[in-house]
Amino acid sequence: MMDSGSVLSAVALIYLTAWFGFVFHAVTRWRWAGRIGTWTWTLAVLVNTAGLVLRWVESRRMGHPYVPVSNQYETMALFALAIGVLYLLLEIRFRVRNVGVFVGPLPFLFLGLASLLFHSEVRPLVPALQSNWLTAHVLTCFLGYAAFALSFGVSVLYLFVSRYGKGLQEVFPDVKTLDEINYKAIALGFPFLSVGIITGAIWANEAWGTYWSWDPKETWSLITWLVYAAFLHARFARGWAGKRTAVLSIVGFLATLFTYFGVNFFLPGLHSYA
Amino acid sequence: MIDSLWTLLRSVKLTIFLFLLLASGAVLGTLIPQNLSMEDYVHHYGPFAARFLHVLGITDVYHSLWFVGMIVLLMLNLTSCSLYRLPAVWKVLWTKPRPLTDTLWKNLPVHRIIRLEEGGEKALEVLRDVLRGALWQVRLEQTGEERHLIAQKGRLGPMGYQVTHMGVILVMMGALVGSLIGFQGFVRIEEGKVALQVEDRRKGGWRELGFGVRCDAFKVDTYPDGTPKEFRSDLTFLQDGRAVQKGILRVNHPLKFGGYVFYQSSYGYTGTVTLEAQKGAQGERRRLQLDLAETLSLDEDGSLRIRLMEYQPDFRGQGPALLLAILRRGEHPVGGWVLIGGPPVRIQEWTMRFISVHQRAWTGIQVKKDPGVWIVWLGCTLILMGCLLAFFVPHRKVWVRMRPQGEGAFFHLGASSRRGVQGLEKAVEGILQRWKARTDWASLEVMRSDDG
Repeated sequence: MMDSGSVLSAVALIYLTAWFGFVFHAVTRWRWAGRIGTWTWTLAVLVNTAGLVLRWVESRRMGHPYVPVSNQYETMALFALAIGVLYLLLEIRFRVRNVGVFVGPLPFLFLGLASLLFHSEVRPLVPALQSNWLTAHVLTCFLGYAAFALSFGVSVLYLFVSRYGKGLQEVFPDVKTLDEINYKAIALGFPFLSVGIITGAIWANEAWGTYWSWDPKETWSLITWLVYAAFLHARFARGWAGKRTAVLSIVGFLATLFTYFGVNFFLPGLHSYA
Repeated sequence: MIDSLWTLLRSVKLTIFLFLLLASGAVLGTLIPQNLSMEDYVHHYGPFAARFLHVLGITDVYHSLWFVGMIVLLMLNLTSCSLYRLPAVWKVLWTKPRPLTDTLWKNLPVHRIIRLEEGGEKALEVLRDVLRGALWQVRLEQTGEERHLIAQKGRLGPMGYQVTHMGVILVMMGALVGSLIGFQGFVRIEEGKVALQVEDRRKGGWRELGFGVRCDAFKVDTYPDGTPKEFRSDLTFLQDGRAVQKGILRVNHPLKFGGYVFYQSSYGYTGTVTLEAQKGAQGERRRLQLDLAETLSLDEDGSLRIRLMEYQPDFRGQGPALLLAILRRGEHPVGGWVLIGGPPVRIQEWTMRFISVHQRAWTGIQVKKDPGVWIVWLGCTLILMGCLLAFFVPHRKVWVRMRPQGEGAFFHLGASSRRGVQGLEKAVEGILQRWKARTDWASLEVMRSDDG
C-alpha cells in the first residue's frame, strides 16, 4: 500500500507535466497540448485529493483521526490542492486556457518543497490543535491564499501580455479579461481570508482567551488583508485597473507568501507548528 | 479650509494611504522584537539605537501613539466616508426605477428585441411571472399604448461596503470596550488548593474574584509516542466556602463562572525533594529537604550550593527527575538532570542520593472578562455579510417595453448592472429561455439588437 507521502510527491510531478502542457500550448499554439494540460491538471487535482484523504485514513489507522491540515507538510499539500481546484474553476468559469502558464508551477513547487523540507509522517494532534475552529480556519485561509495565487499568476501574465502583447492574442485571453479575472479572484480570496482571520480569532479566544494578540502570524495576515483592502478600494473608488492593480496584486501575494512561509522561518510565535 | 479638510478626511485616497501605512507599521512591529526590557534592546542595538526605538514607540508598535492614532484616523475616515455616501446609497435602495427614455435604451449593456405575431398581453403576463419566479421585484406601468415591466434585483448589493465599514467600526469598538472595562488575569493553583484572587495581567497586582476556585486534580494524557494529548484540570467553584459548581477545564474548552471565563493555559509541578548527602567516604549522611527554586548550601561556608530548577514527573519515560544546578564559588553554574532513585551523583567530595519526592501538580489558568467580545463577533459578521453583498450581489435592473403592433407586439428587453456585464447577459438569456419555454407561440423570435 502506498503511503500518503509518496502519493503527494508523485502529484507534484503530475502538476509539473500539466504545466508543461500549458507552456507547450503557449509556445507552439498546438491546441491539444493545452487540452492535455487541463486533463493532466484535473488528474493531479484528483490524486492530490486522494493523497490527503489517504492521510486521514492513515491517522485513523493510528487511532487518532484528524483532518490533515495541522502542520506545514499538510498545509502545503492543501495549498496545492486549493490552487488546483480554483484554477480548474477559473478555466470553466471564464472559458480560458493558458492562464495557467504562471500559476502552473506553484502547486509543483509547494508539493516539491513539502516533500523535501518537512516531515511527512502522521503525528497526533497536541491539545491546542484539537478544535473544529482550527479546521475551518485552515481551510478558509488556504482557499483565500489559493485565490490570491491565481490573481498573482494572472497579474504576472497581464504584465507579460501588455509588454510583449504582439502576436499573443490568439494564445492568451485579452488583457481586459485578465484584469477582470484578477479582480474576481481577489473578490473571492478577500472574504475567504477574512473568514480565515475571524475563525482564527475565535479559535484563539477558545484556546487562549484572547482573540488577537499581535502574534507575527496574525499581524502578517492583517498586513495581507490591508494590502488587498487597498487593492479593492483603489479599484472601486479610485478606478485603478490594469498595470497598477496587477502590481498591487503581486505585492499582495508576496505578503501572503510571507504570512505563510516567512513568518514560520524568520519570526517566532504561536503558530510554531504550522 | 475646513471644507478641504473634510474632503480629505472622507477621501478614499486617505483610506488607501492609511491601509498601506498601517501595514508598514505592522511590518515594523514583526521585524523588531516587541516589549523586551531596555537592557535587551541596548544589548541588541546599542544604547543610541535602543533609545531611538524606545522614543519612537517601535519597541511597542501596536500600542504606540502613532499606530493607535492611525487606527483612530482610519475609523474617522471610514465613518465620514460612509456617512457622506449614505444618502446616495439610501436613494438607490428606495427609488423605484422609471421607464427609460430612448437615449437611455441605447446605452444599456444588454438589449434584445423580440417580435411576437400574436398575444402580446398574455406574453407580458408570462414574462412577469418568469421574472417573479426568479425573485425579481417587478412593477407594471403603462404609458400611452406602451406597457412596461420594470424589474430589479440585488438592491442590497450597493449597501455591502457600508455594512462592512460598520463591521470594522464595531470590531474596533469591541476591542476598545474590552481594553477599557475588560479584565485579563492569571492564576496558578496547586492540586487541592483554592484560589480566591488572581493576578491582574494588565495593571499588575491582584484581584479578588468574589468566589473560590479549587483545583481538585490536574492530569496530562499522552499518546503512545509521548506527545501530549490532553491537559485537564478538575475544578470546583466555591461560594462562601461551599461547592456550587464542578467543571472540567481543557484546552479549547473554556469554563464560565461568575462573569469570568477560565482557560487552561499552562501547568507544572512543585515538589519537595528529599536527598541524602554525604561528604567524603566516611562523612555522616545528612538528610536534606529541598523545595522547587530553593537553593541549599552544603558546605558551611557556602562554597558549594545546589538549586532545584525544575521537576519532571516523568523524564523521557524514566520516571521522576530533577533539574539541578550546582553553584560553586567563582565558577559558572553547571546543571543536569538527576533521576529519583537513580545512582548516586558525585560533586566534588560530596555524594548525593535522591531518595523521594513529594510532588504536587499546579495548573495555570487564564482568567478573563471581556464584555466587548460580542461586539467584536457582531462586527465580524457584518464585515463578512458586507463583503458577500458587495462582491456577489450585483444590483441589476431589467426594463421591458411592449408596443402592440396589429395582432402581435414588439418587445424590447434591456438590462443594466453596476458591474459584471458577463453575468448580466447570462441572467437575461436564462430569463428569455424560460419565457420562450412557457409561451408556445412559434412566432416568438429573439432578434439581437445592434449593440447587444
